[in-house]
Amino acid sequence: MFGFSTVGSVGLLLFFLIPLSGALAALYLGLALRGNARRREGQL
Amino acid sequence: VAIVDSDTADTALVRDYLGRLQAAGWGLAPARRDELVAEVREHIVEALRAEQAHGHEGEAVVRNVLERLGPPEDIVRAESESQAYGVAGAPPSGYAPYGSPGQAASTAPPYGREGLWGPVEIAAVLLLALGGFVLPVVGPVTGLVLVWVSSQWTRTQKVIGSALGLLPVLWIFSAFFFAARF
Repeated sequence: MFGFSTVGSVGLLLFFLIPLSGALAALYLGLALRGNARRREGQL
Repeated sequence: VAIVDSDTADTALVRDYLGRLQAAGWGLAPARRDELVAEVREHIVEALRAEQAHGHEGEAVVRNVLERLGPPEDIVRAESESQAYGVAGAPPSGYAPYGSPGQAASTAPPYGREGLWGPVEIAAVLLLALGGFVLPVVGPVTGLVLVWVSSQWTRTQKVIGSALGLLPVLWIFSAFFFAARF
């Protein structure tokens, strides 16, 4: 049904994008936490 | 305080409520959880004293007081969200001892009490950042679970973080779906 190119492309995308998206989420959450800490410092 | 310490059917309701509050607060820092339970307990005692002063007593009165406080889970949720910004010594934002329960939790001002980077937050970010390489699927999923367990991010930040982690996967499945159709 699918040629190697399709399966291989999806596999490669999965291989690279899943860790990449996780890293992106980690970056966002890290910056968000830093923002929360700064807001807290501004309040105290 | 004797109202709560005495051993009657009414006080069993209060003890049960405080027990549920204690259980619901498992995700909070232990010191903050104990403090929250003590604060709520004090509010209940004050409310019951006020009712007694007006000649109102009995199980129905206790139930009314507890209903006005709202479900313990809502109090903990409001506390968690206010801690994500947090203000030292401030009561939980959505927690209105004599008002309607669970109001304005998301409009909490920036508050703060403890360091924001705890073991849960560090583990969550590391698992999200590196888990995909070291433990495919299990690592990032565990990281996302830890993000949702933590009280240091707001709900919005958790949703955005989860979407960032999961959306590319959805794109891939969408691409696979369209590739299968055309």
